[in-house]
Amino acid sequence: MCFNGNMEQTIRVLNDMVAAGVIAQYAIGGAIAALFYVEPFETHDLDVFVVIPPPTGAILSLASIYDYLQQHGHTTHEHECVVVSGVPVQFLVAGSPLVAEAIVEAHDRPYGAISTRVMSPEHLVAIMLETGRPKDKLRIGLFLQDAALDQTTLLSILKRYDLETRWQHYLTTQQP
Amino acid sequence: MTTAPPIQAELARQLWQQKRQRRRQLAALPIEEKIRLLIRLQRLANEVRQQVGRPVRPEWNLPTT
Repeated sequence: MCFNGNMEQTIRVLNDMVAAGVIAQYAIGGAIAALFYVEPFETHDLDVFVVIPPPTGAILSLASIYDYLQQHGHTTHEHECVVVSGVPVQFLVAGSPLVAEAIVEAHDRPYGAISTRVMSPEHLVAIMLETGRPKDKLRIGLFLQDAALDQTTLLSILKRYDLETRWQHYLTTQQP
Repeated sequence: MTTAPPIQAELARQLWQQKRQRRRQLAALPIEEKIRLLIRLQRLANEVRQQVGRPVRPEWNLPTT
């Protein structure tokens, strides 16, 4: 099954959602964010971390995002993703203070003729370390090789979120 | 454990160094070009999946120009 579309259009939709007040802020995370910094590797969806405006009720949900997308013609779903201009997008919220900080401190990056927000390489490494899946450990290795990490920034983040011990363990067990 | 004869070890070292340089070049590509390569990777991975009888995954069919 193939999708047709244009990733610049996908990003334009995200920016439009911010302008419309449907989301307060967003940042691209996950594997596509990593691609801004390291060599390409296979992935299948675009992880978009969102900050949702305060709810009027007790329950925080992504319903307003899905409603907006449906109203604007993005009606195709693939598993947990909404296909936005050809790209399967998984909307996520901050599940930890580290991810929340990563969203707020994301960098403005150009994509084609427009701008988007991408988590910093240092935050991506810290999140992968926190998550700790085998593929995260592999991808940390790519960042260490090629992503020009700011070590001061990285160590500051790791200290702030009590990840220093885990980092030392990673370096001694995963790195040659 | 046997070690490779010196000439093969040197060739292997050069090959790994070339591979390492290629990975650095890929890392330095513009994001738009990386997305095009990502789509190619998705297609190649699906070809392998088909060959070994595994289910294919959806590919992004984005414009390449």
